[in-house]
Amino acid sequence: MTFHLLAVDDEADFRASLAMLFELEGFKVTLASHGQEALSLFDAGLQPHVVLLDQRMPGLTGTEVLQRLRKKGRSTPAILVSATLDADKLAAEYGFEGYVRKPCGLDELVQTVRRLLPESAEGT
Amino acid sequence: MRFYQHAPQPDLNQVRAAWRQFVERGNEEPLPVRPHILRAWARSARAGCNPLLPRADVLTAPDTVALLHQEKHLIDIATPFMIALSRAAAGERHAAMLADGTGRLLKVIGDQETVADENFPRAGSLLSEAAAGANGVGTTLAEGGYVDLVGPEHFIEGFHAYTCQGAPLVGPSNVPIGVLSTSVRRLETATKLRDILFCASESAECELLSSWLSESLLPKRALEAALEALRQDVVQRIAMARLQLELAAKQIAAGADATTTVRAAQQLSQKFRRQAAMWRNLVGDEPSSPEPIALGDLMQDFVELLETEARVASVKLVWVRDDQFFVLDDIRALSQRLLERFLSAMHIAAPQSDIGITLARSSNQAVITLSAVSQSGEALPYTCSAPILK
Repeated sequence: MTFHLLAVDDEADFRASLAMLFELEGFKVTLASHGQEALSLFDAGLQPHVVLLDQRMPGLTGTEVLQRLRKKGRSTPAILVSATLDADKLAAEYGFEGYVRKPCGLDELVQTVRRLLPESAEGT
Repeated sequence: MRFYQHAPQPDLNQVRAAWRQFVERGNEEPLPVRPHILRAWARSARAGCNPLLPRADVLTAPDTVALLHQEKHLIDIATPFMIALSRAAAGERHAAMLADGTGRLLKVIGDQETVADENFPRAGSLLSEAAAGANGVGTTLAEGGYVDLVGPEHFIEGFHAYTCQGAPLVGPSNVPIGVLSTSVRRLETATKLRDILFCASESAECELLSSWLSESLLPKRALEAALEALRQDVVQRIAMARLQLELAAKQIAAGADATTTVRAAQQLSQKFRRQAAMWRNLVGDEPSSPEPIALGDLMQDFVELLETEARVASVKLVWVRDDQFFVLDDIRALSQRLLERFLSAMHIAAPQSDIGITLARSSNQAVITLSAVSQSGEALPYTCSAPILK
């Protein structure tokens, strides 16, 4: 089964690295450069298994994107990716299913994502 | 590149004969070995190292546990880069090693056969030149830069089967605090790992600096939200460098050309270093002496540092680099004044507008002007001046 990841980050290089690394891990990866784009993708029917959300982005922050997703009834597991020192508290406060503090390694990212994957899932 | 020594690879038969001659008769006549090797052999001999040793000395188990506890921070930071090195060497006999600033090994990651070899160094082994002769750890520390040693270039016979290379790890206080090293059986493998070793040591140094910025400076001064946001932007650079490095390791392991990825990681690391230095100036509260400052370079660094902040604020910093000129000022005070002006301009500027940055000089003063336009259409200049260096 191919798992589908949505990565939302305003840094183009970071997005590109995430895409290459997760594709090497066998994931299908969709990228969004800001929160509004991510919400539009969901509205268009995207159903990723996990979403990685950067916190500091133009327009909506990662926490704001998550709040809007939950209001729309989308329960896709979300991981906060942030360089803030209290990423753990922020993630808990806003109901993220996981968090990764930058700088982070591939193993940490992949393990955090894999922990949230369903044993058997179908996505688009 | 910072560590690279442009030395041709040695003729191993010549080196083996030279080693035997050096061990038996000393350095009586010119020997056909590379200069850094000859220096290392001379240091090893002067320190009384026994060239016929089969292996390095190792600490007792309790002392090793105490050492690993003491160096936990360095080990935690370096481990992901050792894993990346090990990944890049996949399928080959290899070891990625971390040592402290005295040459004491802290961690070894490698293939099962190498790590299980009882003669191979392990955590607690002392690889200083005085104890273990010329080798990829001790010689790196003694030379203060990257070195490689092929087979009989090692001083002790027990290491002649290996090709080793090492790069020093310099801490946030600019003092060498360790070595990242690889040990392999084939010269081709060492060559394949060289660029990623440079990159890994650079990235590990940046992460040490990043950790120091976060942990050591925070208690000294309560950070304003803007400074914390900037710190996160700076950390983003090293986060990207690390992902690029891990990607390069995978590419190398797959036999692909990772040159572009390694270069990208190095550029991001270097950008991180510049921005980390700027951030330290912005949060530092102890006065420093006036010094010559290249104003064009400083403005360029500011524009790069504030790139994300500007994007989040939906404004564009427009800076056309012109003449370079120097001012004489306290770099911390000038940086802090400039940041205040930049933040004010970005706060007032209308979304999607440009903030123009210009430099002008009179006989005594340089004036930096940030031209913002507010949402009501009002043009608002923010200026900052500094004395011209004469």
